Amino acid sequence: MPTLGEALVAGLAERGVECVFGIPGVHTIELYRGLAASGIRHVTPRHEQGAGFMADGYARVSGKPGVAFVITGPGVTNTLTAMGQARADSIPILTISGVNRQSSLGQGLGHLHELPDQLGMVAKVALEARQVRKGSDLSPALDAVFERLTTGRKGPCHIEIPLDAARLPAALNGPSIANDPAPDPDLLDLAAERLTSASRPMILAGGGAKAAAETLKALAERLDAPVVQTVNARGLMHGAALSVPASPSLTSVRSLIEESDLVLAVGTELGQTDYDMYATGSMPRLPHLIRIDTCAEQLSRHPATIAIHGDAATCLAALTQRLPGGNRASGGALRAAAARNAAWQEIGPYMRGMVDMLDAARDAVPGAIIVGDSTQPIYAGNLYYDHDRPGGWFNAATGFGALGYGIPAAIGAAIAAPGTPVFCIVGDGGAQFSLTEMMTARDENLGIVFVVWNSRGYREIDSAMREAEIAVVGCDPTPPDFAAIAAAYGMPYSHCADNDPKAFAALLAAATKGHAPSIVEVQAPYTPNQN
Amino acid sequence: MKRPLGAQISHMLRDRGVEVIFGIPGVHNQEMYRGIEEAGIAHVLARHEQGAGFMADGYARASGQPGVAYVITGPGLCNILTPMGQAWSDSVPMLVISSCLDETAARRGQLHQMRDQRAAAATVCDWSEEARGARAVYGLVERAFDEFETARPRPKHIQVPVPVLEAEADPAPFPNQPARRARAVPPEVGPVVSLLNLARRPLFILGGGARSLLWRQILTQLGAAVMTTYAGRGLVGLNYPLDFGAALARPSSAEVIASADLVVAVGTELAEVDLWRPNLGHSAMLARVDIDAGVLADAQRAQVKLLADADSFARALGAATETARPATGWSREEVATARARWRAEVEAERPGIARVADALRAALPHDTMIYSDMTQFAYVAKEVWDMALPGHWHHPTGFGTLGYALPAAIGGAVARRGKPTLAIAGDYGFQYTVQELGTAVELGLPLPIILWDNGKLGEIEDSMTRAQIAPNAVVARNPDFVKLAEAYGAAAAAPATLADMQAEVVAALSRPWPTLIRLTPDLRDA
Repeated sequence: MPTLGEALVAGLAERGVECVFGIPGVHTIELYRGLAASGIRHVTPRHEQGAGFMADGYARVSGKPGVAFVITGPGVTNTLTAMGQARADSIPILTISGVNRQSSLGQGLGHLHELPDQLGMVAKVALEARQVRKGSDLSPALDAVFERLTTGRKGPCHIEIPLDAARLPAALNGPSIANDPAPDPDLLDLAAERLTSASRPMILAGGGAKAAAETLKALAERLDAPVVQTVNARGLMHGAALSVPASPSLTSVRSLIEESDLVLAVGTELGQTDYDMYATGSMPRLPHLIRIDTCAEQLSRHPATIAIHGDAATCLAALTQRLPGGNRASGGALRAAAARNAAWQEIGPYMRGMVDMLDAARDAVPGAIIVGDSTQPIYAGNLYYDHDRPGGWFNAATGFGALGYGIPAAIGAAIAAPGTPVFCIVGDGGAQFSLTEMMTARDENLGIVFVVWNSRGYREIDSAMREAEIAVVGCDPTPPDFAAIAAAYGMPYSHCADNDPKAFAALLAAATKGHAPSIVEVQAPYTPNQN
Repeated sequence: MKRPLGAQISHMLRDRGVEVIFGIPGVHNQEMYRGIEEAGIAHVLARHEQGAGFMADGYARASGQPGVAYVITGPGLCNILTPMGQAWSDSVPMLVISSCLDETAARRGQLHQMRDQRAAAATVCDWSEEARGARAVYGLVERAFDEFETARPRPKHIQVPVPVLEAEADPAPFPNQPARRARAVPPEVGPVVSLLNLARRPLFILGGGARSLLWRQILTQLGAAVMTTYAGRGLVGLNYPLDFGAALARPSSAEVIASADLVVAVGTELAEVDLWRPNLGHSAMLARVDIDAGVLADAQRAQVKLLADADSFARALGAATETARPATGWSREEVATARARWRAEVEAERPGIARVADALRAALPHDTMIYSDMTQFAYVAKEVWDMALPGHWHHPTGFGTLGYALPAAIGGAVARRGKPTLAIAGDYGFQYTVQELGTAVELGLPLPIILWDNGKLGEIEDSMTRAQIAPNAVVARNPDFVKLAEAYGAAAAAPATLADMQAEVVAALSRPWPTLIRLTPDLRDA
């Protein structure tokens, strides 16, 4: 009979896991016993935080759970930030760790990698955290976490195996398959009626609609409804007349929403970082809100006239079927165009300059995935940018807002989509959080262009301190010499100015042809109050 | 005068002796930053909150003062949990102050929001509390500083909602008379003295908590032998003839311990990571002295237990045994023989490292403070490297995190400007926190960083081999470390011989910026 460690790996393979991100340690070697034979690819990051973010990027692009193997104690605390980000953005990642011998847990005996309560700590962040103490615990634990990873509102999960359990014999039952509940047909009927009678409907699409691009577009066209996309929904409506790829925090986009007579919100938590990113404490008014969400708890958080619990693609298709035939005319394209124009004006010349750079990059290399860190061009794009690929624009400037996400998440994305160009846009401050993972990109020879937007410091915070009349402290970390960094990691390097979209696009196109990691530095001289 | 509470906190800390704060500002904690410079506190800007935490740890270990870090809500706090876990294991006084969100139950999807930030931090530290007003903040800070003085020092976390930080507040009250920890008074050491009077072969085991300068004198007076934990090295100085060294983890040290007719353990958990076996191995009476009642009650089952600060115990013990006749049961020869055997074992287990450690030690001033990472080089050095001074070698012993050495050494060097500091890391662990090179350069720290580059996770490879697992995922390509150091503006060297290494270390100590010294196992003797 296999050991628990081997059976766990086999159980992952049975559930379709093809890649794990992990750093082995003495506490987790039993997981590695079966790994070579399982056919699962192992990618070794340089820090467990990288492992967690890689699993996140992998999950976003592949649509499958991202898995990380980490050691007891510091391995787990190191991945906690990544789990927090995955929780905020509903990304299915699974961390698997060791933990000390069961007889020692909670006793404070000073064992290596000991924590007072590792499982309790993870449970504060994870959707589901399980300890597998014996062979017969394994299959139920895997079924429980995979249900959370593949159905409903997804998020981070955790399994830990005590040192003295890892070598116990374990048999697997076949995986149990879970599915989302079907939406309530009566509510769908009612919603279709309301949509039919609305004269100026509009749609708010969030990350939950990412896998429903076609049905969303079809429904929007039938209703002639503009579609405002949150950050995680960008790319769903590229170039469409009804598309408003701009933030609902903008006054102009809020006007579009408030002047409509019905709002259909799909797969969006109506969270602050999308709807009130300027932290004014106000939300746009949402007339006659109909909500579709895969999470019942989420539906209960905001008052809605109709709240439909279900998967976005299923619900949108069911609604479209219920509508009378033929496309309506509600001036939707005109309303969308007006909102786009007003939003473009509203973001101001400084942000527009950065969006021009993003547009040029997109048009030079169609179909690329752009993974971002918290950096000014990403903030600009989150305000207004129309990506050309569903799920191809994501970053951690929203939700948990963890710096250092970009580089490892781009690595996960590139592994999930071999052959697809990946651009990682990261500031010089954020880059230093996880620069060490550049070597992982090199190990795996991934075609990622790391775009380092070098404004020599934490400019977003610098501006905020100036606005609050605080003497600026701690916003000027000297950046390393990125040309030398590229040499140290064995990557080609090029650079351009931040106001030259043509040169930028050309560098990205050239770098993409190398099919290997490279660095493009954008020199972004900073003067305060650029807006 | 009234100020925003965020600024008042820094003033309060300054009044309690805080001179340096490690951290990274963000929009959420910027009100805390308002007060730093105004209060006359230096701010050290780390490149990752994990670095800030380890720096605070290194600073605290070097200075004896609490290490303070300011971090943001959510990811900032999560990023510092690993250093807090390390500080918890190694009893380091650390205070982490973070911002937090005001309302989390009804509002989801706020920037940096997590489910229960306070409780997440509570699982890795002594306590984690939320203060919802100025008086609550002041009370918690006061409590933290009192407990650092009186109890086993361990990390603590205070979080304050952003609007509370922004609100105007009166200044904190003037500092109280500092609290004092439990002192050992002469009558209480009586039972230990009685046992010592009867003992022929008394053995002291001194841990990192046994901070006192009196041990050498007391041991000599008593004719007692001594072993230290890794953290306790240096407590008896060099060349005490009955010093078995930091040998507790050697399996056969149990035989020596069994041959003692009295064991006195001071300031040590006698933890798994000290012993690597379930029991100490003593057969005679065991007396324990510790500041933590929980330690006294643990599975080692001491017959005499004394809750007290180690230095006061040493003072009382020294006074009570001034006229004692030294015990005669130990011989210098048996100590020397055991030490030689153990050193041979170390060299056989991990060949080629002890000679490098010896040469490195010879090149360093005796008051160098050393911070090591989880690397095979440190595992060897901890056993063969005798320390002249206590508290001068810091290792992430309990929690065992990679990436500790460089940022902790930065904190240590900041605490001891003008005195030598050295970092030792393996090639894998170094990559965990390599970005803090930028911090060291910015601060102009003359810091040699020994990089032991065996090109892999060597310890894990050995462990897989022992468990009959084909080693996998343990070898990764390394960056060009010399170029990497230079990218940050640090100096770098890759010496080929031991003498070159010594010269590089000496040069590095006088250079006003850090130097990466990369060593590989093929380093030649000459």
